[in-house]
Amino acid sequence: MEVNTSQLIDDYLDGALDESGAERLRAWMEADPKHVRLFVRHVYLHRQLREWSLAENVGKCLEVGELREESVLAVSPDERRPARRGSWSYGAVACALLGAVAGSWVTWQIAAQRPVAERGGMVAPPAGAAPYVATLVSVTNCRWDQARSTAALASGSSVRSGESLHLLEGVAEMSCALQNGGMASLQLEGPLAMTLSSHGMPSLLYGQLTGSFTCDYDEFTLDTPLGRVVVSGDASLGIIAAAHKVDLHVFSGTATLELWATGVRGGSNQLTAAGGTSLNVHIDTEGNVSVNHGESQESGFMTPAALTASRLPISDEYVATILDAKPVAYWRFERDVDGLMRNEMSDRFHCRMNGNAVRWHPGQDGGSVEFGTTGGPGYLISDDTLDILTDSYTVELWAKPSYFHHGTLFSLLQWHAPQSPIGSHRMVLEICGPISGLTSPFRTTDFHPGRLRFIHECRTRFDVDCFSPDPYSVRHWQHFVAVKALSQMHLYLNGRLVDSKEATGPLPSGLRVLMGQLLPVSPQIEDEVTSRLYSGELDEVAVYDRALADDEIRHHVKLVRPNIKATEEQVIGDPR
Amino acid sequence: MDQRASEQLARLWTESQPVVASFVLSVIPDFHQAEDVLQQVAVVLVREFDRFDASKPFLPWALGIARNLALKSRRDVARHSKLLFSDVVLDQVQSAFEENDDTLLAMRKLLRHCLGQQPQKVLELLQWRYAHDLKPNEAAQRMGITSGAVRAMLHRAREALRKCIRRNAQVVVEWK
Repeated sequence: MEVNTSQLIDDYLDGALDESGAERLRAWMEADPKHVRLFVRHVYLHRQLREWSLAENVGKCLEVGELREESVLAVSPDERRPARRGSWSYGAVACALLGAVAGSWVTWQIAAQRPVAERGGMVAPPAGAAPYVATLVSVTNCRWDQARSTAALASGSSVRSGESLHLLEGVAEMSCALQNGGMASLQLEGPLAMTLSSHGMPSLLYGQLTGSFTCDYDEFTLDTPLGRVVVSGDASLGIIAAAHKVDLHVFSGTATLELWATGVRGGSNQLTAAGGTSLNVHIDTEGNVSVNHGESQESGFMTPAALTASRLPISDEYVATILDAKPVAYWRFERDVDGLMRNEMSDRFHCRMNGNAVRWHPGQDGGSVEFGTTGGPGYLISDDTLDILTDSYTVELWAKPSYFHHGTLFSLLQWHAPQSPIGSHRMVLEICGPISGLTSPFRTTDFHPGRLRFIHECRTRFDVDCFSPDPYSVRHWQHFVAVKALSQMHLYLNGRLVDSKEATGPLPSGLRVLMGQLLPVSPQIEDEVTSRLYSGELDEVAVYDRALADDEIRHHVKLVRPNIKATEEQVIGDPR
Repeated sequence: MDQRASEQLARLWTESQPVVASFVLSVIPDFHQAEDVLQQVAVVLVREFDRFDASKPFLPWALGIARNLALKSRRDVARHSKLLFSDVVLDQVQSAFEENDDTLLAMRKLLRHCLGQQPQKVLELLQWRYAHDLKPNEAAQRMGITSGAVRAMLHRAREALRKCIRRNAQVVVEWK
């Protein structure tokens, strides 16, 4: 009987239950409350399988990112999955899950305000305008939502009308050629969704992008949920779009935002922003539109200027202080000697660069190591093993992530080729990605978007991890410290203790240092090889065989960020 | 809603969403329609969160909203189809989801492990069903076999997963 009812439940959930089966199932459920519980478990499994299968589809895209294929994704023009929002505003990241859903409702309200001819997202191009030819020219560490992007991936193909890009995480660059020789280069930062209308006009459903335009004889237009951005001439700008708001930051040149709704309080619905200024348009659930003008904030976008704006002035005093603290290893990344990053403390634990995506990066403030310079793997690994880290240790580093993504900064792993490195991690310091709109119970970091994470393995089958309550910053140098002190583990962000957990158990001996991604390349692993690729810079990485004290950590931060006040609890990195 | 409330709601929703999603699916066994309802639920939760009594558990409140919206959606979309449950049974289903017991947690933790033990052919079939949302008759057309055969294969695959989860569930409970 149970087998039969189990089949009936499956049929019900598959939409394949006939009326007689429904009657039997109904009678069975009414017979005993225990049957209801069994039914509930069947449904729950059904739902979990749905989530797993969607996540699997996303995972397959990782392979595409590894191969650096130029990719084109398409989705049905009848895009009925509501838009989800992304935001560079850190405080908003935690709310994105809800905002995504709430935003979809607002989108429908806005759509209703558009002229009838424009509904359905198919907006006629300006008179005389020709369709764009858009090409996805590069993808870096992208996770795509294949479940929503229905077209097959095609290397080097154009993005065609009616197709869309659903980027969960990573950065993709799209090039648009205009009819009269104009060019637009769009840098898409996940999570983001963009479609090309039947006329080839790009439409940003949600997310943020950075664009540079050369439109001497053309006009580039891009639709957002609240209006159309129009660019002519040369310009550089950033756009953040959600269902209920659009931020337009113009760094150079001029851009116009033509609102779908009538203007604010009867005013013009055309808003123009010049270089250095920004427009913030918001619509509430009643349909009221508000507009704020401000200064453009280039640091919020992935422009070359923003990526280099944050400085890390390391003084001799800082270096001397670190050396006095006697770390076991201290990588300053001041020079590249045949692909080797030297440990300043001894002639052991030098780290080798592996993969094309890692490089030494000389700068105004000295060298650093940069990851994610291309798609695919790129990491540093030590050949020697650390044997003296046990109950207490500290890992201290400065990091500048390029964007919100899930990347491993530093780890200690008990691994030697040819064994598989999977499961060999004993300590990990990583950054979590943004809310992608597709959470998986198997990715616990999905529930801590934009946070810093410190994992210490204190039992054989169970990890303990600390998360920062606040998001890390992107494109700013920050100070991260992971401390293990006997039975406690602590996580510091910019000199502030942000999380502590009980964690008993020493580290084993024979640990290798790995920076820049979760797993080293190994014949034993396949698609996981490039997972959790870090994109950004690291500098001044130090490992101690003791727990640094709170005041030591704060002192280290103050040596680089002297504007911190003695009484200030929270140390802020570079101001925005 | 202020930032703090937003974060609180985000946290509560993140914890509850898998259960609420499953509950909606029990009333509306269609992924797309159920996911639309799920999003409506989130919208209402955002709108009504100010009225939520924080001294009470969040999940029953969310399930109550989900129930109303799911039933409304059923009425709107499938006027002529009979709901599988009586009100009494629906109450019991809702209560069972409210308990959100260890078995449900065990499923989440163990599903991937158990899927890893399945043959590739089974995984492909599950992908057809769950990622591409093909009903058995649609999958049958693609695979060139009968709908009954697809139903049986799906059933066997899920039975294998259920057995695997049952066999390993005790380990997960011990982890808690």
